[in-house]
Amino acid sequence: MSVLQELVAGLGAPDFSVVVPEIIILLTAFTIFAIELFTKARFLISVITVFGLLLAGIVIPFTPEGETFYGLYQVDTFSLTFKFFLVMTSFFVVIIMRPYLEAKNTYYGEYYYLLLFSLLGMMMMVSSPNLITFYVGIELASISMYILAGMYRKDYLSKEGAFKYLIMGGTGTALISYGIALIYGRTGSFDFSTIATSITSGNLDVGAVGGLAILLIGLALKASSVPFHFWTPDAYQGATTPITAFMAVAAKIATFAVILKIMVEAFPFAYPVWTLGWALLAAASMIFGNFVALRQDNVKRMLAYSSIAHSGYILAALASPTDFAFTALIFYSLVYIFMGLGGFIFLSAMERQYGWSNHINDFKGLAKRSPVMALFMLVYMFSMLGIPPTVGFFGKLGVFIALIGSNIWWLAVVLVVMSIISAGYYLRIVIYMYMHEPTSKARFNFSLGEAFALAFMATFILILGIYPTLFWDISGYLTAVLLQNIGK
Amino acid sequence: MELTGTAFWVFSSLAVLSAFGVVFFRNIVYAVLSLISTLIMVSGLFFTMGAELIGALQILIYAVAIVVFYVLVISTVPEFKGKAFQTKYMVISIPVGMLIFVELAIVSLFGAWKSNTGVFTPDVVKEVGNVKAVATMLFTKYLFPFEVASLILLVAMIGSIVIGRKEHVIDEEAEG
Repeated sequence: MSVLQELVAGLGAPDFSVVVPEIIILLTAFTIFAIELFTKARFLISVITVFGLLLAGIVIPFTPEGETFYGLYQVDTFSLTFKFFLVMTSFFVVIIMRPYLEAKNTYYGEYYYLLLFSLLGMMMMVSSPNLITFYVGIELASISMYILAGMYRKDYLSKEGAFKYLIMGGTGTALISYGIALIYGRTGSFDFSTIATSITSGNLDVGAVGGLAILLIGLALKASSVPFHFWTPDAYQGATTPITAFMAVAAKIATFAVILKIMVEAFPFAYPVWTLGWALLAAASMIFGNFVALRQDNVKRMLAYSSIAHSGYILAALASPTDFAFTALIFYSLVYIFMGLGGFIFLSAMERQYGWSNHINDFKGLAKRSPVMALFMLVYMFSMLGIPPTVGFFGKLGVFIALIGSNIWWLAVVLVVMSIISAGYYLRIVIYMYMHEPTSKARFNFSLGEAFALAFMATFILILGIYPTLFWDISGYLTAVLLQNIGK
Repeated sequence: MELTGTAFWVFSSLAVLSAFGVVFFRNIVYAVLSLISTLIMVSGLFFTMGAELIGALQILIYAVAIVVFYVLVISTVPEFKGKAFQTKYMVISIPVGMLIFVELAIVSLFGAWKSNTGVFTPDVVKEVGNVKAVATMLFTKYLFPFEVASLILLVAMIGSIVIGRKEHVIDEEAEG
């Protein structure tokens, strides 16, 4: 018995001060869970959610760094920064959600707390120093998201999309757990640092490569990278648009962050395997996503394919294992928040208007009907395309320079060519907005939250486009933190 | 030692035999019964290796909970009844199954597996037992993921209620 007693005696209470933001999110979720039973005051529920998210956002910069839960939870600048942006994304989704749900007659109080549970899972993902914490985090985030995707009332497409998402996401989780099992068998540990020291470039045997390859496929499925993207267009199109914004932005950002963290911290010396894997996946995503997006007439579906293409652009940075490339990846994922949220929130605001069906023809003459909204959409589209005054340009430039710096010319060429092809559908929207006569004269009305969110995103894209060093410095610092963690 | 060897061969051959039954029985209820048999034999294999906790969990979770769930689904969804295997699916499933088998075989034969490390050496496990060893790790180091798992179950439960409940009642509430 002495062994067990020794094990337990050395343990103190875990340090809860580093997980205060998570605790705030959890308490908010449970508060809404309880309140929702007794009251029908929808305004109250959204106010409490917004308040909880604001509180968490304010607390995050003041949260101390450190490890807790016996080495299973790691809070450092990397995880705190991503947590801040995830909370910010959820905040913008929540403030535009209620008008949309009421207009579509699909309001459920469950939207709010499931979104918070999902956010909690993502926050766990980005601060995991251990494959088990990462695994439960990604499970919590995905399972909440399957449900959120299927909660469009009486809509067959939503159920179908959610079902595909469930099956494909379940496959992804199964693959991830299989990969984790192989890696555990090979290294005898779940901790990133131990795995990093056990798998070196000299002893890449079939166990390590097999485990890593299967883990990589599972992660690619979660990041909706081609050829594991089948769920993405259906799930994105079927879900209510605010939830699509949440899936396309928050879930993706958390996945990119955790992919980078696992690759860099757990497999730093196995880079020949994963650079090749991500390069192929990224090239496939860019080519397939852009070509299919060209043929879409439904703008929501088009943006879904565009988000597949963007996961290609972002993951392309992983083809080169340099700190510049990691910085480019973090920078692009952070600025993608603004473009992705902008695009989907725009659609969410528009879908509430009379006669709007997300078809490309609905965009005809938008500039004459609502000049400001058309200008915002123009900024988002230019940014996704990567035209210089917007920040999207610097995102692509960073990845491009990183690829050239490592002499991966083929992927750099694919990136540039595919960006040019993507002009075909991004500019199509702009042309429809500015160079066609409006077919309807119906007036638009937007809620305060929607107007604020759209204006904020457009302004920030332009500010960052003029002053990108602001985020570039943050990304560089986060890369340094990540590299310091190797083998610690 | 002799007995363990015999037990291994008995359990493993029966497991393989029942696995063939799962694939080839035309009646789906027989297939599910063969699945139970396979799972029980696999749990027998765990017992012979001295992993009595995993063996018991195998029976409790798979043979009881999951298979009962299968039976419920089969008896409530009418399309499943009487449908045997179709050759068109075997075109895909046999190569994929073989691929997974080959992959597993190569990885287990040629992977450099780590022998066991840490506090729980075979002697210690023999002394305290599997259950205490697993419980000690689960409620100390792995407490956090364990607690989060309960949250996942809560979310799944909420989700099944939200998606599965009757809509017309809710609609009237929303109108009124």
